[in-house]
Amino acid sequence: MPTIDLAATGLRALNQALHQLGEGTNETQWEIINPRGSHAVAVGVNAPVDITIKGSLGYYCAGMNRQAKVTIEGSVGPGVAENMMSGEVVVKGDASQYAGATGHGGLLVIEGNASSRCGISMKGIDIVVKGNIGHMSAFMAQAGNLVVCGDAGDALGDSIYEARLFVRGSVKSLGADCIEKPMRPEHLDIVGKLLERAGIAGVKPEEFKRYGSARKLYNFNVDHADAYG
Amino acid sequence: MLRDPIACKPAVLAETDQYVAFGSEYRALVGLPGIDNARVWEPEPATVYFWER
Repeated sequence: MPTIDLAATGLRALNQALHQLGEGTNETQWEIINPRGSHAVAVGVNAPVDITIKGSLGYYCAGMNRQAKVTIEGSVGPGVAENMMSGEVVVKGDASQYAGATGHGGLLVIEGNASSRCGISMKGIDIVVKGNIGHMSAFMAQAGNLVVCGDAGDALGDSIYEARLFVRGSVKSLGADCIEKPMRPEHLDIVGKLLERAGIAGVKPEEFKRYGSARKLYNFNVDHADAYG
Repeated sequence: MLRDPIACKPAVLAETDQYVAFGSEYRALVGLPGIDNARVWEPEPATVYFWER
């Protein structure tokens, strides 16, 4: 179980060591101490390993993650798990802007709050936020599920494609072409399974509302040109 | 302290009994005494924060 002191080892050496891990590696439990808000920690990992970071990080933590499970015992800066392909990223604290941006797969769990543009351009990633999310979240979200136990800020789901948004609290305002939609049994199932995977108890899928595309914008029809405002 | 109305610029605040600090990233605050126990959060856009003793 390698323990890396980031202050002593340096970022490049750490990421290089993580990149050298292959499919059948024996070094499956990693611990990183003294992160001190560093950027780009554990980016581009492509191995089924567990990485725990003891502290808060800066930008793009676990970017492009594939297969790994990355747990951050602290908060993260902008772009956590951006472009994640698979695997899991768990943030025990808060996440800054564009968490999970353009993520293709995997699960991102934020146990605190996420800031603005959470899930922007998501392409299949599942994001579960225990707290609130900021404005412009799920902007142009194409696929995947965003589950928010708290509140959402302004312009939720602006220009959304087919991603599913589930918010338990209030939504300050909806973005262009985003509307509330009925919760059907299959949606309760999706929310229930994601809450379970995120380890969130005490909230029920029935408490969530679903939001998604009105489909008047991305199937562009010139009659709706004024929807671009 | 006041953040721009669309939170265009990144900002983070840290507060303890001794100080309030802000910067554009958490990394800038990492050297402050007691930062590990500080309350660290992102200010809301177009919201005035003030402190008084």
